[in-house]
Amino acid sequence: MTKLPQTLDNRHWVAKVSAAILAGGGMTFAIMAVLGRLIGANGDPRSLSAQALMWLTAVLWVLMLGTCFLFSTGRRAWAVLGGGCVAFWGLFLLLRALS
Amino acid sequence: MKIRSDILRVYREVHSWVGICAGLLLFVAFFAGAISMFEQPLQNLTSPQLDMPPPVPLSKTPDLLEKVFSAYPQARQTYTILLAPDRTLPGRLAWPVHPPHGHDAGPMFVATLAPDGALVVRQQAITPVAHFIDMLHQELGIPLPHAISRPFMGIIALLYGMALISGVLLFLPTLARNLFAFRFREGPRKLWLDLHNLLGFFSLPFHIVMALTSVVFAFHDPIFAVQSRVFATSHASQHLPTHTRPHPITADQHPDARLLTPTELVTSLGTQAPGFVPTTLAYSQGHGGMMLRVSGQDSRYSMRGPTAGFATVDPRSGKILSADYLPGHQKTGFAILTVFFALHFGSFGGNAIRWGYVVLGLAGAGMFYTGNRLWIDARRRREKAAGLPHDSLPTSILARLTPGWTAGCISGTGVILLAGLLKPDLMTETVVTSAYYGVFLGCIAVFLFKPQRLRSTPQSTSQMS
Repeated sequence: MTKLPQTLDNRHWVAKVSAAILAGGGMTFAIMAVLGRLIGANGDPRSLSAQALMWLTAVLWVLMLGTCFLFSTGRRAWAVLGGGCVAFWGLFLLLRALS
Repeated sequence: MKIRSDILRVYREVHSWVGICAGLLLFVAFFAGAISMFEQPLQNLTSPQLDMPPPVPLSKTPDLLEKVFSAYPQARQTYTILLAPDRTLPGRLAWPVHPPHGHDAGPMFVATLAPDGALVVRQQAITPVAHFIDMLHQELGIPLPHAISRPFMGIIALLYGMALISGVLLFLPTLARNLFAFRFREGPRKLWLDLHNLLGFFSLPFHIVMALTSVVFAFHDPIFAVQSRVFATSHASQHLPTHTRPHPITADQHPDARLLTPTELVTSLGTQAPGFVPTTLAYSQGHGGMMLRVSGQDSRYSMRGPTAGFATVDPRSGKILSADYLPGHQKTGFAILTVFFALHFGSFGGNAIRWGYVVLGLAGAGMFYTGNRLWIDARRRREKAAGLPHDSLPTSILARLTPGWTAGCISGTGVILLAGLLKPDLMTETVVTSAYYGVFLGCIAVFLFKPQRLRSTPQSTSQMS
């Protein structure tokens, strides 16, 4: 996403968009889980923390869908977003194990 | 501001494809949404007048309650005291005809007392016109089953979010040069483009709010489901800091204590939340005894719902138990989140803001129309340059579908509104649905099958088809 070696095009749009929807969606949920863990959210939809996290998830997902076209290739999109997804869920599991 | 040309090209493609997939659906959403800003007044205007004596004074409500409960014992479970009766609920007390499930209460019985003290009960007669237009707004004008229509709307909202991001990126480099440009003389394409940019840029905050709130409306349930799975297995909830704990909603109940009379309740609310004007007192029998949810307005603050804010109140002491959604009494965090909802519904600042939202909504619909025109004109130019004698099939279909769809939506809505005003008694759900879709599909058919004109010169395409 940071370095763009060759000129950008939309040949891999299916891969990029699916990466943003699936891997990116998984990553936004993981970010939500990590943040919720850190602020001590309890998942009750009536609570402020749950609602704030819900909004955050929606914003992040839309941003990922909007920026996924900046990846140079579809493979790269999947690598970065999928890697991020795994990393954040790993961090969440680690945090849960530690508490 | 300079953006690399290949990035601009990528986002131009994204913008036009996303726009063409979602544009017509969003047109319906914005047009019907603009009309739904006044759903309640329209509901009143298009509903038949019930033959009923005027509502009893609030002080006589206990008498009315007693009579209703002895004649209709099921009303004890769920009933609503109306502090501001209107044409659709012209009594002092209302309760659902069928046991309520979910958000939709269904038809209601309305009751009041005749001057001689006799109980008068009528079933509410609502013409489904205003509600139908609201559903057009929520379901983007496509009558899908509810389980599908929500996620479908959410997907379109995501596309809309992508269109906004890409549109802003595209407009940024030429922002300074083109913002107030209005090129009448350089052909229709430039004019549509200038209009599209102008509408898009100046209502951008409005559009960002609409896109995000719609994504949230569509997907909040699955997100909350994930949260409850992710956070519920933890044992953290026992030692949470107190401020993140959900509020205790049930009061310390004294089941024998009597319920406050509506007059006492309104007085008590007036001292606890001055400036909040309650409109309904909704009682329901919950697990922990009788619950009371008060809805009302306070135009000085943002309200969580389309027309009201809410408070949970102890029906026996009148104490406000939860002010999470009570305008002006929310904690900062809830107040910030409420702003997002209020910015979607236009439920702040009273009627002036509502009219402003009508304008913004119609301008939004206009932006989607101009977006489609731009797409069609761009395709036509490319096809002409490639030497095609006629429009290709997709271009031709879209060039006909766009005016047909928009005209169909506008006139369909107009027809049912007019019919609702003139003949409210005839307007059942089936009549309204078939009238709207009849006109809508008819308009599309007219535009699709009218004979093709010869390829026109740029000057003559500038008229709106």
